[in-house]
Amino acid sequence: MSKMSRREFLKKIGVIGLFFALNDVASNMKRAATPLIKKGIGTVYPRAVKGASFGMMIDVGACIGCRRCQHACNLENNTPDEPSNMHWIDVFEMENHRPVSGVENIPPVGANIDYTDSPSPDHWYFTFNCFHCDNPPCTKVCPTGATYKDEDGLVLVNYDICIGCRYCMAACPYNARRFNWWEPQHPPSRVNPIDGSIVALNEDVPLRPRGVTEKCTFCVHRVRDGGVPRCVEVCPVRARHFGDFNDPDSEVSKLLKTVRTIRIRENLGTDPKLYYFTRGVKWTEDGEKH
Amino acid sequence: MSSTTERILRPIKHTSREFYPFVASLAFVTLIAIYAYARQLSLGLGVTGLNDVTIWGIYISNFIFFIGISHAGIAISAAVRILKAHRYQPIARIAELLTIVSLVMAGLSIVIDLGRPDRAFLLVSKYVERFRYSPLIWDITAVATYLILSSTYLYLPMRRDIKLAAEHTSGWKSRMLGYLIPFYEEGEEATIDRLSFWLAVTILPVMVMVHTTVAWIFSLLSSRPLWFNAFAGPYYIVAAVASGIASVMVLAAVMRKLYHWEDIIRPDLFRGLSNFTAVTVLVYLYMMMAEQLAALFAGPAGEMFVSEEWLFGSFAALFWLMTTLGLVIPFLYMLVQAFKKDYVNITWTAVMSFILVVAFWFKRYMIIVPTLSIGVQQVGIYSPTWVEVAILLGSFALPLLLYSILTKVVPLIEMEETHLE
Repeated sequence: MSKMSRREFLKKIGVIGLFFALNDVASNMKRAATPLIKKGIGTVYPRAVKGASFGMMIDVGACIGCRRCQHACNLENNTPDEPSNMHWIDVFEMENHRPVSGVENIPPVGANIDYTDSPSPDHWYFTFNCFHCDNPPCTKVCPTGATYKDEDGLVLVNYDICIGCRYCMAACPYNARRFNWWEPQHPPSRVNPIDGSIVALNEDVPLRPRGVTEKCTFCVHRVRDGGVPRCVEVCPVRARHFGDFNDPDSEVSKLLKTVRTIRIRENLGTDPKLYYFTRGVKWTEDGEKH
Repeated sequence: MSSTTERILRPIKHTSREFYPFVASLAFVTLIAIYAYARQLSLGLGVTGLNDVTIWGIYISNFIFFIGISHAGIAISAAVRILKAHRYQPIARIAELLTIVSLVMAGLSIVIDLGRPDRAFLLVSKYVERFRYSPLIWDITAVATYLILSSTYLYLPMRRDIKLAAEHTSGWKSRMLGYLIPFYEEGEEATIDRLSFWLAVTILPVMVMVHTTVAWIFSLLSSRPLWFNAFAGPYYIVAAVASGIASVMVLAAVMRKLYHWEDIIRPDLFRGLSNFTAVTVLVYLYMMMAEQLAALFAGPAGEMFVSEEWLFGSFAALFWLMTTLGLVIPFLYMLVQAFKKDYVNITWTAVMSFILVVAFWFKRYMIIVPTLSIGVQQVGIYSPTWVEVAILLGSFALPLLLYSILTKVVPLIEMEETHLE
C-alpha cells in the first residue's frame, strides 16, 4: 500500500467520523426540541400484566357532564392544550329523547360538545374515550406496527415508530384517536419562565412529538402498577368503573353481572371493552335525579 | 435515413424557443409547491385544513388520482404487444412515460401526506412484520412492483431507439444518450422483444392488483360508509381506465399538434380510444348509480348520511357538476362521435378527455372527504388551505415538467424496423 492510499483512507475515516459527530449533534438538538422523557417501546410503558383484560364501565345515568375527567386526563397525560386543543376524553351533551343505543355516528348526531353549564335539565351526558377493543381495527391497518394491542388488552401507541399516515384514525370506528397536527405547546403554567423548559409534567408519561397519533391509554402507567385511570379517580359521582374483566372478583366483573350494559357499534365486531350502563335514571326537567 | 425517423427524433434534436418559458413556468409553480411543503415540514400538518375528523384530503385524493392515471400507459402498450393491436403502437410510449411519471407522483403524494416523513424508512424495515396485516403495505408492494416492472418494460424496447437517437445527434447530447444504454449489443432486439412480451404478460395482472389494493386501503375499513364496499376494486379500476386513457388522449393530441405528427398518430386511433373511454365512463356511471341506490334505499344511518351529503348536502354542487358536466357530457359527445361513421374531431375529443380527467380528480376528492366528514358538526368542515392548493398545483406542474424533460431525452414514438431504412 502506498502512502497516498493510506492518507486517503484516513481522510475517509475522518469524513465518516465527522458525519457521525454531526448526526449526534443533530439528534441532540432534536431531542432538545421534543423532550421525550423515555424512549423505546420497552421503556415507554411498564410491563403488561399477565392474564389481565382491562376494561371500563361508564354509568351514563350518573354522569353529570362536569368534564372533570377530561381536565384531569389532560394534566395526567401531559396533553398539550395549544395549538392542537387535544382531549383524549370527549363528553357530549345529549338531549333526553336521544337513546343511548343506535349511535352510528361518532361523535353522535345532535350532540353538543361546547356546553358551558351542567347538568342541565332534559339532558344526559355521553362520554367517549378509546374503547380498547379486543379486536381493534386500528392496530391491524398500521403499516409499521406502531400501534398494537398488548397482552393485557390495552391498545397502545409507540410514538417512536409512528410515521403519521393516520390510517389508524381512518380505521377507528369511534373517532378515539388524535393527531399532533402542530408542535405540541404547553400552557404557560407548565413552562418554566426562567429557562423556558417544560415543568409540572407527569414524568411517567412520555411527551408526544409532532406528527404522530395518540389516544387514551387507560393510564397504562397507573393501571399496570395496580392503580386505576385518573378519570376514574376524579369522577365526583363514581360514574366510571375500571378493572380487570378476567378477574371475577374485580369491581367491573361484578358490575357486569348485575347491570344491563350496551356497547357502541358492536355490529362491527370490534368487541370494545368500554361498557355503558345506567341504573335507570335521567336528569329531568326540575334538574333532579329520580 | 427516412424522414419519419427524422421527425420522431425532432424533439430531441431541436428545442423550440417556446419550450423554455413553458418549462420555466412549470418549474416556478413546482418551486412554490416546494416552498409550501417546506412550510408544512417545519410547522406540521396543521398548516393544512385537515383535522381529527377529516384526516385525509387533497393529498390522498392526489394519490388515488395518480395511481389511476398510471393505469393507461401499460394497459395500452401491453395490449399492443399481447393482442397485437399495432394500430396503437404510435402512442404506446407516450402512454408508458405517463405511467412512470404518475407513479412517481403517487408515491410522492403519500410521502407528502405523512406526519413523519423522516421515518418513512420504517415502511421498509417493518415490512415483513406488517405484511400480513396492513392494506397500506399491500398497496406499497403492488405500486413498487408495478413501478419496477413498468420502467423495465419502458426501458428495454427503448434502448434501440435511444441508440438511433445517439447516432443522429452529435456532441454532448450524443454522449449523454450513449450513457443511457450501457452494454448495448448489436442484435439484442430479438431477445428484448421476447422479454418484453413476457413482461407484458406479467404486468397486466400486477396492474389490476395495483388498482385493487388502492381500493382495499379504503374498502376494508368496516366503519366507513361508502368506502366499505365489496366491489370497490372493479369500481376503482374502471375509474382508472377512464381517466388514464382520457389523459393519454390529451397528451397524444398535444404532441401530435406540437410536433406535426398528423400522419404518424392517425385519427382512427383517437376514434378507438374515445369509443373505449365512452364505454368505461358508462360503466362507471352505472356503478355510481348502484352505489347511491344502495346507500339511499336501504342505507344504514352512516351510508344515508354520506349519500345525502353527496347528492343534496354540502357536496351537492360539486357532485352534480362533476357528474353532469364532467362525466355525462363527455360521455354523450363520445357516444355521438362513435355513431358517426369514420368521424373523429381530435380537438374536441381532447377537450372532452381533459374535462373527464378533471372530473375524475374531483371524484377522488368526493370519495375521500364526505365519508370522513361524518362527524363534521363537532370539529368543523374541511376546507383546503393555500399550502394544500399550492402542493396540488405543484403536483400537476411537476409531472408536466418531468414529462417535458423526458421528451428531450427519449424518442416518443417507437421506431419500427421499416423506418430505419
